[in-house]
This record gives sequence, structure tokens and C-alpha cells, in this order.
Amino acid sequence: MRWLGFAVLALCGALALWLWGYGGMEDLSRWAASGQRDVQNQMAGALRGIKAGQGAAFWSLMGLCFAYGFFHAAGPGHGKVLIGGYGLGRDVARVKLAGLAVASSLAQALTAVVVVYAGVGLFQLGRAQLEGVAEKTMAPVSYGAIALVGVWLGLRGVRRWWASRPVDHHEHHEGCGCGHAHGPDPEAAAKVGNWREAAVLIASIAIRPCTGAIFVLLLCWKLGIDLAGIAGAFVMGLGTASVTLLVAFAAHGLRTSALMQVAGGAGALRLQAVIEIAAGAIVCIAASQLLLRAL
Amino acid sequence: MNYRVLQMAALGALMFGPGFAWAHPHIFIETRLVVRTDGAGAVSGVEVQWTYDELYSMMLLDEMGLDQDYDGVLADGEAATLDGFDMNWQPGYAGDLYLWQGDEALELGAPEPLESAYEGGRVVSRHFRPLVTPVLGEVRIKAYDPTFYTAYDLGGGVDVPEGCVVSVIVADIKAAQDKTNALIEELGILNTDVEYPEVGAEFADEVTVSCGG
Repeated sequence: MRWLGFAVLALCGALALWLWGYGGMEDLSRWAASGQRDVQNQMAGALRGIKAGQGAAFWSLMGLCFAYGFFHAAGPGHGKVLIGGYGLGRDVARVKLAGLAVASSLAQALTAVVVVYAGVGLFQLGRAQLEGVAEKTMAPVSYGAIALVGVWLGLRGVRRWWASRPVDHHEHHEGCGCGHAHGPDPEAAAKVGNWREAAVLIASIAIRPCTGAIFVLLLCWKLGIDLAGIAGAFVMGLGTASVTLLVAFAAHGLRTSALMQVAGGAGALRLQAVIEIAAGAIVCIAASQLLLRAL
Repeated sequence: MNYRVLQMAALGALMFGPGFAWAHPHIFIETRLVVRTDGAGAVSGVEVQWTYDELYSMMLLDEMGLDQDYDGVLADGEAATLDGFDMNWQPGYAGDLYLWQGDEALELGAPEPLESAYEGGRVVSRHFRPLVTPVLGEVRIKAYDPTFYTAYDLGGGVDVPEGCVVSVIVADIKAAQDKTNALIEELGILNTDVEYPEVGAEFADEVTVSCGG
């Protein structure tokens, strides 16, 4: 067991070096994308395992859900969360950001659960009246969407209100227009001054549940393993939040170190490298846990 | 792809109105391309094989009412139901396959369904896309979803007839990511839930085929 631990550590070091030294961001993105694909492929097997009554399969699914959340947030299309991390060094309280990240990810998972089960409820209600064709062509997902519309319309208003507050919203920092709704960007987090504002920010992120969570919830419902799906959705949220947490704390650690005294580009490059290494290490740990479970 | 297109059209229309596009890949399709040529050595079309990821395959089967015991094995007679399941395309859906000669886009005809199967937990479907006018010389091919909801890779390989030369230019993911970020800023998109730039092409590998030269 100990040797395996060392081996995994060595492997992680090598991986980190490779990520940093040879290609950096490009490889990280590519790797995260293929990671998400691999996880998505393995999830189906874990779901079947749970259905078949294999106890270990539940934990495999949880591990996969965490990894899915992580990879999804770190993968292509999500670069902004990393870039947004640069802004952290300035004036955002990282504990506050971390709290908001975890809370919004969990709220997002909750939305996914509510949407799917509200959709399932509607689906079953409407089912008696619907002809077979409608049942087959309209997936439960679409019914979930109908339920979401109400929630979303209401919350969009809240969000608009939030955006139109008379604050200096349009200073264009890196974090502004964050191409990413899975976590709060540093600028938004910096503005949060009280509980009500925090709630609005969390709600504005939570209105868009992760499609991956919806997939898992729907399949688990169909398989009759609802609790596994609900737990999986929340674990997925934690995996997503872990990227923001990682960035928050890595960025802060670096800022307080002498390295960050190097002004501008070079410091930023190092920061990026450290973030990539840290990301590699975290995923390695997650992956090694999966490996140990599988052995 | 009709199921996805239908679902997404419904979701998009209901939730976000026009202009909405899903960000980030949620469906992964391993693509195999087989280039066909006519007697004169001109490229006449491309045979496309889509291998869906396991999770999405599970959802597809569920929607079709297949493999109801979820053991990953189709019952007798169920396989036939699969054929052509993703060939009922919505108007405006381009089939996620694009060809060019130089900078000029080449027009593709409607898909001609080939067989579908369920292998190793993954739905595999094949179809043929004819070129409306076969072309001689170098042709560029990309398989992608403009909205990047589905990520296509060329994991299935690219096959060309004898006498053709093929090469693959791997996408520059970093550049694609930078462009996505730049577009989001340029278009003034504050909320990528509502708008997302069409960047799928940027993330796609490019195949170049020269036949009969």
C-alpha cells in the first residue's frame, strides 16, 4: 500500500512536470477534456454496477462524479475560471470566495435535483394523457426544462437586478464576463457584502444546473437508484467547486511569496504554472483513490 | 442525432430563446471518417461513423425503450430498432460534418443511413454524406458541432481510398480557448448561459485529403 502511495506520488510529480514543462495549458485542457470523456464512459458501468447490487459501485460512482465535476470545470470552455484566479491576488477575501464557490456548486446540484424530480413529476402526471409517440420523442429532460423555466424566469429578474445595481460594474478586469457559470468570479465575490447579496449570487449561479448532473440523475431515476443519483449530483458540485478552491488558495499562496514580487508577465506565468501543477496533483490524488478502490 | 437535436431545441427554446448555445462538451463522439472517390478519382463523399460515449448511449437506449434491464446487452430483435435512429435531422442541422476546397465550403447531400449497433456499451451509427458535386484535388474535412455541445474526436481514424494522401492537423486547443475568451469579451457577453460564441470548429482537428494527384 505504501509503495503504491510513493508510486502515485512519483507519477504525480512526473505528470506535473510534464504539464508544466511541456505544453502547459494546452495539454491541461486536452487532458481535462479526455478526462471528462473517460469518466463519462466509466459512469455507465458504475450505474449498472449499482443496479446489479455491487456495493463498491456506489463509491466508484461518487469518485467518478467528483472527477467529472473537476474535469468539467477545468476543461475547454472553462479557461476563464483559471484566468479569473489571477484576480484573486488583489483584494478578494479567499475564504469568502471559497465559501461562495462551495455554496454555489452545492446549490447548483440542488437545482439539478429539483429540476429533474419536478420534471419527473410532471412527466408522470402528463403520461396518462400522452400518446405513445409523445412519450418516446419527448425525453424527460424536456419536461425538466419546463419546470426550470418558471424558476429561471424568476431568478433572471433577480440576476438582472443584481447586474444593474449602481456599482462600478464595468471595470474590465480579467474576471469580468467570466465565461463560466459554475462558480463565482472574483470580482463578483469581492462585491458581496452581506448575506442577502451572497444569496443572490449563489442563486444566480445555481439556476443553471450542470447537464452532467441531470444526465446522472435521470439515469439513476430510471434505474431505480435515486439516492445514488442525488448523492452523485452533490459530489459533482464539490468536484466543480474544487477547481475554484484550488485556484483561490494557490493564487493566494503565491501572492504572499517572494515569487509574486516579480512584476507582470513573468509572475503571471509562474502563477499559471503553479496552478497547473496543483491541479495535476489534486486530480492525481482523486485518480489514485479511484485506482485503489478499483484494485 | 435527432434525439439530441430535438431535446436541445426544446430546452433551448424553452429556457433561453434564440441565440442560446450550450457551452462545453457534454456528449463525446468518437468519429471515424471514410473518404469515398468516384471512378475519376474525385472525392464523392464521406462515410461517417459516430460512436457515442457510454453515458449518452445509455440515455439514447433509454429514450428508445431499449435495454430496459440496463445490463448493457440488447435483447433479441432490439438491435434492428437502432438502425437510422439518429438520421431524422431537424431542418438547419448540418450533420456536424464540413468540407472545403480551399476556402470554399462544399455542399453535402442528405445523409444516407447505414447500419447502427450497440457494442461494448456504446451506440455506434454509420451514415454516408455524398458531395453534391464530386471534386478533384485537395479537400479539407472537419467534424464538429458549432456550439461545442458535442465534442467529436477522430479516434475512429480516417480511411482514404488507395492513391489518396491524407494528413491530420491537430487542433490548437490553447488558441481555440483564447479565441473563445476573446469572442466572449468582444461580443460583450456577460452571461454565457444566454449567449455562447460558435467555437466548435476551433476545437476540431482538420483532415486534409488529396486524391488522384
